[in-house]
Amino acid sequence: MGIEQPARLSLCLAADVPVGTMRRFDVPGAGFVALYNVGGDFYATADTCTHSAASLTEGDLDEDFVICPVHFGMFHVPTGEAQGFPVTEDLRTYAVEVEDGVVYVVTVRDPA
Amino acid sequence: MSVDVNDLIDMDRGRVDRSIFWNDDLYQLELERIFARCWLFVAHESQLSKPGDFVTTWMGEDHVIVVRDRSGVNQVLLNTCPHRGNRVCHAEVGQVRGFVCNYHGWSFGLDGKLRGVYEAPAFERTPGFDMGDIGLKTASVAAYKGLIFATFDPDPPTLEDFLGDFRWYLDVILDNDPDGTEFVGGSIRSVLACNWKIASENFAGDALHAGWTHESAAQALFGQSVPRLSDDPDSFAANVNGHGWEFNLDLVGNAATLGDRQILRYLREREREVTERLGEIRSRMVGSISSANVFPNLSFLPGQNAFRTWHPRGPRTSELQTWVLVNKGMPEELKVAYRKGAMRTFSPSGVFEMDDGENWEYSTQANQGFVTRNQPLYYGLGLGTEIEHPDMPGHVFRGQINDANQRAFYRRWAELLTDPPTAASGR
Repeated sequence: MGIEQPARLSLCLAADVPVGTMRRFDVPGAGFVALYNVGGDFYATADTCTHSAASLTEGDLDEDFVICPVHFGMFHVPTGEAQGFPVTEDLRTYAVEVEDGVVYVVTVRDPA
Repeated sequence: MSVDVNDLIDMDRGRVDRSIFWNDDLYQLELERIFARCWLFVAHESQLSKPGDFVTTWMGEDHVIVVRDRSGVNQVLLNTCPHRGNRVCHAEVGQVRGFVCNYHGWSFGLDGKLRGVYEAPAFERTPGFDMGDIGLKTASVAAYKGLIFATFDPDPPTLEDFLGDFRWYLDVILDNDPDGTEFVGGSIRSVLACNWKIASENFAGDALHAGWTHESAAQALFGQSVPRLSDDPDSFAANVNGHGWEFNLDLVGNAATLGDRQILRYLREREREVTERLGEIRSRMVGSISSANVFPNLSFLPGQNAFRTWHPRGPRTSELQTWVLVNKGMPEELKVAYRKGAMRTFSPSGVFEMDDGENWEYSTQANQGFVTRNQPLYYGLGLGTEIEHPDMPGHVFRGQINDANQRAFYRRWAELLTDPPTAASGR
């Protein structure tokens, strides 16, 4: 692995993910990423729960916490912090930028 | 089983063999052919207002979760993990996203479907393992005017057919107000050392015990005896499909035992409105001296508004759950009055409940004696009193001092016990 190069990729229009909802994207170089709209602020984390292999966007978004649909493990969306058993490993987070109504996620360039 | 159930009851003469309150084989047959087959009351719709709201209860000795799923449909799930059989829900009431088994972390959605397992890769490598095949067993669910019923019969009649014309009577308490009904407060739980049928048949038809068993309680509560009922021309016993309702047309007789004038005022003020809604006869039944049972084990008292189920715990023990039902549109202070009144009368410390429990426990436990349990019991009161009534549906009998509904209860009991289940039942 070389030095990670940041990459900015457009995901969708901000209007596509209303307040209180989340959506999953397949992002080159990052795999599945969950994009959240928490009270008008956008955040992104890995979509796969760090405990089992579930997709977090199939669970619940409760204010700034996402709850896994399988064992109801809970993560803090802005920081990715695991909140307690059965989830013990934090989620990877990604920077999000909104420009002219378009949401971008900042990830790393695919080394290939 | 070698015993012929039809030999145990003789309803043309009014005789019951006491082994039906004692015999373990008969009890197992009841679990299979009555409790795993009949529509059973499991919850009131008012207990489940949002997705994830649940209560747990029993269908016979099968523990079930009644839960509102994400699409707003009420589900009844057998509370046992299909992996090693542990309970997946240990609370009586609450709000959940799903159910996770404590043992190996199998996780189920509000619809009972398996959503995930712990150590998933190992299961995924296993030939033939398919999450879609495995889930919590579900019961069929239907509601009648707020009351949710469920059945494990794989090919059940509709709830409407199961209740039949008894719905005409049920509307007295479930539909006397356009806003419908709700449960107030939680559930009162207690255990009685009696057979479940002794309690159910009492509510189905036993007005006779009221004046005698409850004499001292009546004196203490309102300073007079329960009225003599044997010559009352306006008293009846009615039954449909084994469900029974014995009643008077005195409007407030049961309600008066709650000892609260505002309840009596409420009933009297609403009499005209209820007459317009349900007709004169049913308007006079709303709070009257009466009791009812929906076969097999949902009992209630119009007037006191106590609803209860007698969950069987073997042939000699019953676990009682009691709730208080009120009209949703009723002023808040009246709801409180009904709740307190029901606790004063029909909770474990309630004055009437204590009277009944003592009697029913001895009626059951006396059968410990071999000679005792070989003595038949008399159920002949009111033989020959059936009438045709122009307004009242079902089998109607003149006089609420009558064993007619109890006989109908045991006829239905025998009919179900002698009807073998189809191959799919309970599977």
